[in-house]
Amino acid sequence: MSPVIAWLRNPWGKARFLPLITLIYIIWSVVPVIIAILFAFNDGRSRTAWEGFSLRWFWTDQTLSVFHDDALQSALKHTLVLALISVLIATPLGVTLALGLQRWRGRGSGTVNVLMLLPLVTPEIVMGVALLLLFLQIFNQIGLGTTAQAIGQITFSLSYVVVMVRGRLVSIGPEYEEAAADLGAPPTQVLWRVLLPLLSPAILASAAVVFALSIDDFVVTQYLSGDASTTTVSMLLYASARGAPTPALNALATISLAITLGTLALVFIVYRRFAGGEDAAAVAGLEV
Amino acid sequence: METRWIWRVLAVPGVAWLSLFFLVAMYAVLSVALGNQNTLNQPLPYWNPLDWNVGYLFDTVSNIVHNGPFLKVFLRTVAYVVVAMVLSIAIGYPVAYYAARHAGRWRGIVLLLLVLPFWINYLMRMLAWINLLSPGGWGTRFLHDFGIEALFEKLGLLNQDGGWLNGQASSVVIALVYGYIPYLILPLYAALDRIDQRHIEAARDLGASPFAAFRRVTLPLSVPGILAGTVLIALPMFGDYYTNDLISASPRTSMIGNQIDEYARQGSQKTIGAVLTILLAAVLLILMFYYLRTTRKADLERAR
Amino acid sequence: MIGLSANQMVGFIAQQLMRPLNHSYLPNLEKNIWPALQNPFYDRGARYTVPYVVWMDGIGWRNDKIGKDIAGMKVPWDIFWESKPWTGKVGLLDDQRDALSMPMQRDAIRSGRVPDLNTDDAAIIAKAGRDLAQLTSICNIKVTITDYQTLPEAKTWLHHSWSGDLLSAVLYYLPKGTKPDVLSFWGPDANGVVQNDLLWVLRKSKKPVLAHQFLNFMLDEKNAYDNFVQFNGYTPPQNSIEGDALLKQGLIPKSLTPAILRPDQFANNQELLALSVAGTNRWQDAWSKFKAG
Repeated sequence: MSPVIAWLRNPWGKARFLPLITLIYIIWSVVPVIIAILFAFNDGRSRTAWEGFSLRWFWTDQTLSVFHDDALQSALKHTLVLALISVLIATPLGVTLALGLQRWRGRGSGTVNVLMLLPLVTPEIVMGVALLLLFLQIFNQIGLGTTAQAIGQITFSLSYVVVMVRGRLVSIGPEYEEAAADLGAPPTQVLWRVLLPLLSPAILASAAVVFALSIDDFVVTQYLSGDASTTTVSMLLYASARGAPTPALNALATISLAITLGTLALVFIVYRRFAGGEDAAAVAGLEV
Repeated sequence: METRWIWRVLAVPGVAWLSLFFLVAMYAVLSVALGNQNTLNQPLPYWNPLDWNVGYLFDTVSNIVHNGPFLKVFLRTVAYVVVAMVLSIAIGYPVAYYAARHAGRWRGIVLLLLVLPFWINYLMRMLAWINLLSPGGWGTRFLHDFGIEALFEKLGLLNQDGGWLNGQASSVVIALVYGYIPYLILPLYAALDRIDQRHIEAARDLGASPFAAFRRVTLPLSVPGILAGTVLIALPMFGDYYTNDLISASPRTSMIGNQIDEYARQGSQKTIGAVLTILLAAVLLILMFYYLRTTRKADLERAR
Repeated sequence: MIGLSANQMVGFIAQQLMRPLNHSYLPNLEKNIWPALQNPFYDRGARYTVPYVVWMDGIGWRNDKIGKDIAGMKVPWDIFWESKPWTGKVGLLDDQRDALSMPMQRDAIRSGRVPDLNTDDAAIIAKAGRDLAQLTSICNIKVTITDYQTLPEAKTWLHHSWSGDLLSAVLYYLPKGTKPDVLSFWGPDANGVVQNDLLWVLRKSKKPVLAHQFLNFMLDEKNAYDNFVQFNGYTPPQNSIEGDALLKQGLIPKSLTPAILRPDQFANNQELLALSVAGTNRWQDAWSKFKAG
């Protein structure tokens, strides 16, 4: 019996309203964003009245488009710079912490575990105020600005890396390391030639997560911002609500979103290729 | 293994970073809150706990206890968060349940669409939602045509003076739900997914109807997931200030986050901002540690 | 550098950020600028700054939605407390100093005193905060700075405004089909708030001569006019820019000629200056209290 007919016969059956609610929720969740992206291509100045398709807000408009407006461009550049710094520092830091934590038996491991998880559950405004005071009162040679913003972002991204890498470590299990050690490999080699390659999907995925978290971060970045040159896309989006945004802002947000999704898609593809190979190894190896 | 020390060494950089930039930062808030202000109105932190000055803390707490504006804002925040959480569970549970147990061949794409909001900037989502709700926007027209606007007006949740963005509590609460519900649905999905199908099959074998099986097996088993998920969104909601700023320009809907932002970032009295922050953190500490305990238990169980 | 107000200047000079100006590079200062601002009280002899734009705080409204003659009222500021018929369409400037000064001015006019808009007095400040709080229940007041957009789009009908906002509104933000003369502005002739933004040069500037030439460029009559009309809608204190002249050119409607500040208005109104430490805290507390709803 076709699902539509079954639904019509009993529209209030429990299993029927579930897909309906899910559908409504997904529409509610996604459609506003699609419309916002659509209006980035609006020919007119309005963000609510459609006047035709145009790329003016991306690059053709001589003064107001993202390509030509210095403020928008510099925000985009700064956002990407911060994201890159975050990834380059948070990922290795997180991987080493995950490895260390996982293998740490004994005193202190519980406390370190809690310490690592705390940034995940701390509300952003508390983190923002704390970091603001940190850079104003203690590290005031660093002060507010790009360095502070990067440090703040790395601090809360670290936990995500640790959780993701540790999850993978747990599922890998100790067999590979033990096998390598039995074959006489010193610990550094075990780390370098066995563990890290096995962990690479998780490392890659967590790097992508750090990248996305950094691009979309608002509170910490705003609190640690020094002057206009340290504005990010998120901060511009927020400030625009109190101003008179043109669709160039939609264009900026669309570009930022495209970068995030593009990076994720790339990582996903790479992950599939890796995971494909290592699935085979897992099947072959774990039978041992 | 004698190589165990290597692993501990690996953890050192991470621990050092977190200690330096997280623990010390938290201590800085404490020291500023329990410190003083100098003649240029800048905060003067007292680093030595023995010197801590409870003056500002006392003033703020007495402001709260004696029914001052901080109390009003805090209670309002609690009300918004509770209502938003209830709504989020009401909408999020069926969606997570569907995705976990009934999606069948749609599961992949449903999951993708559920994960998507994570990767979209929160502010972009909120501005997109606001855009729809502005007078003349498609959302407003939709809500008007389907009678939802009239319904809300009758319930007293919407003023007739023009629109959804006019400083109503209902708009702020709905915006909070809109913003944070994805963070509830995914953990809930994970928890529901983990429930062993065999429990349910056993209940059915023993003669329970589908609904009874749900009520007496699935629902109780999913309660830890529900609790963990709601705590996970309650924490950021309590500290939220930007959602209210974007949706409503009215002082009537301001949340405690707005007050903290006003004092700590925009104002001249960072000490009071710090005091409010530690008071908020103290209240949320209970929630935070509850969440940490449940996740640790779950982690340990899974590792076995 | 563009943009600094008088109350911030003290701090900047203390931090040695500002370079003393060499007036031989600035002939336009004497030629074009209001005499009063060539030697302002906050910067005698214009040693560090030249004025950029000036504006005042007043009331902007849609005269097609609000029939009352606000300018003709005995105490125009009272209109906010009588704005219940327009609930939801009323706005207040989202700035601590500007907003709290408004009920202070109202009280002063009613009691015939001269207000001190840079006061430290706890009672006055607290009362101003309480007066503002009344507005929340009277008309569900909005606290924004987007009046330059919401007034022309009729999303707000009555707004506590900076004079330049109304000019920007009519110059750039009028939607199609809306005529400029629906917008009106009133600003007090005396004892209200005026402010100006300043141009100045960084002490560490690597090209100080060029910086001076830029300042002179901005002080030129035509350039200042272009900047006003094409870029920001705020009036520079040029002798040649005044209300009737702009009206004749068709640039602004009659209802907005009050938005062009006159030198005598500038002289008789008060600038917002730096407050004492205790004063700053009191203003902030009153403002936060109001914002708590």
